[in-house]
Amino acid sequence: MTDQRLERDPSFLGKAAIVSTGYTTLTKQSGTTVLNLATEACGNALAMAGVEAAEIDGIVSYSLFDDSVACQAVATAMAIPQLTYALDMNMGGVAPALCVMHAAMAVASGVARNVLVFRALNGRSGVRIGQTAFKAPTTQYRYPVGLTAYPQYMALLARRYMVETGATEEDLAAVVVAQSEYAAENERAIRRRRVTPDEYHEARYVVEPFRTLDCTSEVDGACAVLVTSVERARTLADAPVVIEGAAWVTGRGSGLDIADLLSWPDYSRICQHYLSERLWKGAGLGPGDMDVAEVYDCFSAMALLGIEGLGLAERGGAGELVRSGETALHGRIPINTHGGLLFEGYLHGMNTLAEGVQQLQGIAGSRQVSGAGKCVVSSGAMGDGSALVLVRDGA
Amino acid sequence: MTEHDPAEIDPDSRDFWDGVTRGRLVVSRCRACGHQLFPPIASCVNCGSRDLEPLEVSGDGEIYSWATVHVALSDAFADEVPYTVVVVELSGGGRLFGRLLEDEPVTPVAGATVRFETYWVDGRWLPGFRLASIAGTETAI
Repeated sequence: MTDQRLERDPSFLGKAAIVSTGYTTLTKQSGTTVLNLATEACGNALAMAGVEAAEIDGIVSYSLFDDSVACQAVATAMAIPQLTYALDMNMGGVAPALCVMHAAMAVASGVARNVLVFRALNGRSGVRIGQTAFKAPTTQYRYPVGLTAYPQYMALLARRYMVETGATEEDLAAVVVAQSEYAAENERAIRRRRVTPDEYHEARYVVEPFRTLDCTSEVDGACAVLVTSVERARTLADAPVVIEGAAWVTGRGSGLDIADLLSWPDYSRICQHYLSERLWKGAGLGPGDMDVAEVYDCFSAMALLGIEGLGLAERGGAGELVRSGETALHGRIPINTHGGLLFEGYLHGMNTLAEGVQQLQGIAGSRQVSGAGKCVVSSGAMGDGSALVLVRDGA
Repeated sequence: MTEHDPAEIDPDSRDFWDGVTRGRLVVSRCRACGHQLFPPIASCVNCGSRDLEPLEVSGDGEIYSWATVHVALSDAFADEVPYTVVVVELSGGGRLFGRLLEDEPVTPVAGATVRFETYWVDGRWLPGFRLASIAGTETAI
């Protein structure tokens, strides 16, 4: 695509690449501060790339309920001399792909040369999303009647999706069972085991149609990636992962806060549906070109809506796609190869994105999709969200 | 931690909550385009106009979606599980969350007709809905 790079729309596409990933261990109780988690993950990303902290001039991150630390704090802790670009977004899981998009725009425009993107939180031992109250104007319409947390909001979307498409709990079960196969091979996963269909159906309901196994597991931990120019990336990594497509949208009526559904017109479709045309057009690729997909899955059903929204399956067909085995390691389009947020843990999608990078770099171990060169990653499961098309340099 | 208290009542929502305490449903209508909206914010989500008025409506509507909560995720609701919250598409427009008020557990179906009815808990009236007929439940199929 080199000859097209000057004419890309948006113009930053194809000009920046991810060179490395960094993680902390994912645990139920880190026993340390969020700042320490953030610097550890960022430091691991730098070490993998062989880049000194002094070369970092941009940091992008996101949080929810003030559960993280500012980019400025990480720069200070890592003894980074000067940042020329920083962005702290209060956006939760809709943000990871958007953060990388911002990093790529900063690099492509020359505002920064080497940008860290991280997510860090004590999501299990500290601020738990499932039990923390939003301060937002719309909570008065949902909290008093008993809609108090994300699993319940997402259940409303899942139910309408099932009503409109005829999807059933068997489709939710298929996601859980399929992703558990990957999780069993993932040393990072907080839930590292295979789930059988019987075991799924024996799990208790949290909020119908979701059982305990349909819900992500909150964790403590951090994850980071390093973004730089494609030219620089080629000197740092064997397999630079080029940001060839990136899109963010807020659908019309996406709400007055990020958990507000009162104005959202169609509960059976989420952000991926509304961003996919822009995403694929920008990338010059389509869903059929992808070798692997990492789809945001805070709850099992959200993977189905995301798969369909991205065009990886027909409307109402995601459950059958998963059940058929085509999303498994040797299937046509492996999906959520880390076990998803359901099994690896709820790092709010930063780990979903990093898994896509690892797949394209060929370092995913026993979960490695053979010859993976192109990957789509999505972030978010409501009315606004983001996605990337990542391509291994030369693939 | 969340509770039954709609703590964030604001100038835009006062008419709605005043209505709830009287057993009435008050939404908002745009004087410019006629759009009926909920939540009752100060601008129209259809046309952007800031010329709106409170509007008392019948409270009739249809179930759009629902969630049946088995495990309370806030202690305040621990004594109420299992309970069902419905998303209701109001006649004339706008969507509202409310508790499904049935004496026996029922499984709703989409499109079932409901009517607005308030319920009393923890010292306050809150919005709910009752099925207009048993035809709105799965047991009738």
